[in-house]
Amino acid sequence: MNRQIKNVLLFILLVSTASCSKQVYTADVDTSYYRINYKNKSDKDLDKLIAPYKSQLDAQMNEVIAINPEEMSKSRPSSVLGNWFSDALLEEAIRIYGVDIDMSMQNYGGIRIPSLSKGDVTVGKIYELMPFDNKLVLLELDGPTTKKLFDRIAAKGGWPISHTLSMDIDGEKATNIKIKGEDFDINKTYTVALADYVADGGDDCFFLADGKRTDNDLLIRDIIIDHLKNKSDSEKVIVQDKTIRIKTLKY
Amino acid sequence: MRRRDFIVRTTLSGLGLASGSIPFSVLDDHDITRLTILHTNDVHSRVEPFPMDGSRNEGQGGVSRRATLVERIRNSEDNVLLFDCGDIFQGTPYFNFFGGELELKLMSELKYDACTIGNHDFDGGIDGLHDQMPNANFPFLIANYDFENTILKDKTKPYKIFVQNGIRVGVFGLGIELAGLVPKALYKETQYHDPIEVGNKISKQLRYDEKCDFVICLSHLGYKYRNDKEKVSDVHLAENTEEIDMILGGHTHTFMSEPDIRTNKKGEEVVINQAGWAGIMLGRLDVFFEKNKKGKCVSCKNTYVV
Repeated sequence: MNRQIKNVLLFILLVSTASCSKQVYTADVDTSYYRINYKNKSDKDLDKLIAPYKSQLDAQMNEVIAINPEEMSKSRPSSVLGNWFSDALLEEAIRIYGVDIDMSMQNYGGIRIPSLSKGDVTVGKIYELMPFDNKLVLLELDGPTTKKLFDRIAAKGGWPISHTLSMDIDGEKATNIKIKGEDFDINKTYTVALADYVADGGDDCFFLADGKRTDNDLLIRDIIIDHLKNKSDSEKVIVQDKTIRIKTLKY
Repeated sequence: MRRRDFIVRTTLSGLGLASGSIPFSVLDDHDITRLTILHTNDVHSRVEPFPMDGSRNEGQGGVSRRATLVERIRNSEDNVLLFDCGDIFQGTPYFNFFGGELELKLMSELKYDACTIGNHDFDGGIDGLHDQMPNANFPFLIANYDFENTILKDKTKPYKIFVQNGIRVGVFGLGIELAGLVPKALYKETQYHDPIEVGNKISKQLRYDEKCDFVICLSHLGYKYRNDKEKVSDVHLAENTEEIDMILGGHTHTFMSEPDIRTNKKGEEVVINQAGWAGIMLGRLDVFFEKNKKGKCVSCKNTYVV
């Protein structure tokens, strides 16, 4: 650049910064975005560092254990992915505990992928869906505690729940609650299969910590993987249930 | 190049002159230092890019791609700091099988300058976090967790001061309340302290005792909570403290399209930024400092690693 112009500009800058003081740097933030497409280069040294870990994982994680006929998304208050997941939990909980169970559920944050894509379902995808080492516990809850749990689900905007349960969300309360086709009865006790994380009081469910509880050492992730692995060849395609199990009432 | 124009345009318009496209070189030998702050949060063990399987984020992210981007920025800027705001762990089998070892080794390769601790960084237990820490060649900064009665005693620091071209940048960390979020069996005897109280205290200490020119909080509190306005968040932190200049956040996985500028208790501006999650985005903020003057962010860009 021409030196003279440069000096003039420098002068202007000095004057302006001196006279405007801090106003020069008003926090009027200039934002721009660079979308770098996947031609973006990888760092070769890092790829080398990753490779031995990756090859160990790939051997186990790339095993295909089911076919998903259509993408299943996770959303509130109710979703196809949530339906599938909590139904699988209920089915397996009944098998594992050898008793009839009224319902199962999963806290919304417990499902860690926004959707299960169409096509091959690998072991690795189930790891990403349920990365936590959560176990499946059985709770026996009195009516008022069960209602607290439903209200918590409502306040959280809806959780994945099994097909045996349905409800409406009215503000932060659960209403029109049906369990196995019958109205919720506050005088009854109910059995619920869910993650130990929630049963321990996680996701603000501290009131569950005193529930009557049966534990099992199996990880939910492994339960789901085995649930899919153990299906016969003719059942490898996931059956989706698009029923809306939780509705949010709007006025 | 827009940011370069911006500083000149602003100064010119301050004199009532028309803005024009003027090369930044006029500033080169002036008393202005540019600090380039890069940040990630909630990478959640996303070592590889999301797989090409038709899902929402397919092909996005990946540490190795982030590395070349960071390197490119380092090559063109003099004063670069790289931070992570927690939840480094958990989300892919890399964590389940290797406990966070690879995540921290990779971050060390990328020359991260510091990180804070997220709730999921306790997912392998406080012992798991302790055991993995030697894989990190950068400090874990956390000011409101008291690890006195845990295995992490003396393994973290509340803050660190970085001196860049004579400018003192104080960086401290704040974590989210663990009770109700993380099983106690995982965080054990970790004591949580009020982030606003601690944030105020530490930032004042950094400003006045440590003479910092710029104070940055690495936060895993979450940007803001629509359904729970009382819950402490980055917005609360910004508005209820006095000496924090910038909050780099996490936890809420917020993809910001521009930083949120809030006003602190003294009426000064605080910049809040967050970079989504999973390493899909790298946040970048360029802060310009003039000698004897408090720097302000004049250019912020968030870069997608696709």
